[in-house]
Amino acid sequence: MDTYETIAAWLGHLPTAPHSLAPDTALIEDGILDSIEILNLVAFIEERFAVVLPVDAFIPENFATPAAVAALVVTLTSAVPA
Amino acid sequence: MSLPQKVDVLVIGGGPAGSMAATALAQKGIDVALIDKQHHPRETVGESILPSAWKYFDLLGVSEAVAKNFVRKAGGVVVWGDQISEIAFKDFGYTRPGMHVERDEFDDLLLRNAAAKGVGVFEGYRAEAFTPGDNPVVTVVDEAGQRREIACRQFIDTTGQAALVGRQLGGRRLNADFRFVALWGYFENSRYFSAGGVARDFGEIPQHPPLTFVTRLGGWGWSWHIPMKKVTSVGLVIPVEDYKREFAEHPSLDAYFLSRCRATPHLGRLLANAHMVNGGTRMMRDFSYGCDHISGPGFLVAGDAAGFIDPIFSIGVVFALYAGNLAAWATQRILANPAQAANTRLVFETQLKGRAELAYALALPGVERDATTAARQSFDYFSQAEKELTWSAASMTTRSQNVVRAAGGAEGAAGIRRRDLATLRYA
Ligand SMILES: Cc1cc2nc3c(=O)[nH]c(=O)nc-3n(C[C@H](O)[C@H](O)[C@H](O)COP(=O)(O)OP(=O)(O)OC[C@H]3O[C@@H](n4cnc5c(N)ncnc54)[C@H](O)[C@@H]3O)c2cc1C
Repeated sequence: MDTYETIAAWLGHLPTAPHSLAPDTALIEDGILDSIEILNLVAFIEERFAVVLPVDAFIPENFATPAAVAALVVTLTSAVPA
Repeated sequence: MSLPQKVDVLVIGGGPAGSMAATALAQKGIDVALIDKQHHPRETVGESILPSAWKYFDLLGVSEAVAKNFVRKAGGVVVWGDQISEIAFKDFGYTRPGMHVERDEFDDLLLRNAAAKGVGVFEGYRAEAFTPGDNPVVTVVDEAGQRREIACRQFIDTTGQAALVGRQLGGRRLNADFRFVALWGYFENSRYFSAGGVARDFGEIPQHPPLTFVTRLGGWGWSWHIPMKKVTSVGLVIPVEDYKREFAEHPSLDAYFLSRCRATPHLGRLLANAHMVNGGTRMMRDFSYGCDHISGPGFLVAGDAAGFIDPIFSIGVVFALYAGNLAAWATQRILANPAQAANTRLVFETQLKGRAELAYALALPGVERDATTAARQSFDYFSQAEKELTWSAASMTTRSQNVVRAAGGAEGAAGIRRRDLATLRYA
């Protein structure tokens, strides 16, 4: 599974998820990802992709859609350690 | 079971924030103990609960018990000057109601649930002081006055307005924009308003769910009226200066409180045949404050212990549950990855402060001030339904411009679902 599919599969298991999740489904606006599930998602991403989200990654834009979440993960996994 | 000398996580304070944090940690298999200086059930204020609390009740596994044991409310009705308006939660797509809860019973339910989910709960133990650090130590005093020390890996301060950390480290600052005194009491046999602003007898609550009823008092003061199972909680939030002047003209606090309630349009009418019970008038002042230190080596602070703004939007309990869950998440992340503890504390602080700044920006009475970036980001974590509910509730107390600022200038008129009523109806 690529990054997007992994994220989409996790999101798809949420009780609030719609039948079909598109890359641009509005996760926060539509109430699919609430304040509890965002934290669960971060915990999942950090474990699954062995990354640590820096403090400035915790902004609503990064969780707005499945595509935005996947893009965040790609940025973090491809970052060259300083 | 006796109080341990050593535990992975110690939660201090068993209100909603503490029970939430401790239960969420225990559910992840973490060794956690909770102490409270009081024995629950114990009295506290804050009885009107928004529907956004249900997701936390689901997580705790108490939704059925909450639904069964307390009064459901359908929404709110507000008299603000000439304007009478009503909102209904279902109009925003909420499938579950708000609740009116006796807080002694409600907090007790959450605490017993914590114990059932594996938290070691110890009542009658007061945290007196702490030493922060990689292996923090908390000094605890029992009811016989005996001191002992508990060593832990992390502790969470959820001591409410007692603010253990804020008082020991300093930096607990009163908020000059909210200089109010709250007076409240409990009444038997009060009438109440149901959907459409129809006044009903107390006994009709099971058939006709109540609305939380709010009226303006003077410029920015206001009153609450919250019908519960047996009694109705009635409170007045009065500017400090008005309180001082008016109270001086009365022989006692009860006399002042009752005459102010009875003289308030509509509220007085609902209370016509009601009488105050449960020990008279309660008072609280200086309840609005923030704390400079809401995390540090070995600890996090959540709920009222981190700060409290204003009760106008009934967000206290939901905010405490949010903060308790965030603190549990952050504590777990620190335990799992101690090398990243500083990053985790920063995440915790920014998220919590953003929420607090949002609460402040929304509640500000009659002051024009731009919402901070953190407040605006917090608002953007809300679903559309939550935003529209916030907007609508704010518009009822002429605070919509506060929401406009929190939304970064966006006008939300389309999302305001409020019914304006020509009159309240008495049978
Ligand atoms: C006038 C007023 C009206 C309000 N109305 C509403 C409302 O309608 N709806 C709403 O949602 N919110 C309301 N609130 C806010 C609400 O009361 C609080 O936000 C909420 O109770 C906070 O929960 P908590 O868990 O942080 O603290 P608390 O519920 O205060 O719990 C703190 C616990 O810590 C314990 N403790 C304290 N010190 C120590 C110590 N040193 N050691 C051990 N234990 C200790 C205490 O015994 C207590 O049980 C109102 C607040 C005010 C002031």
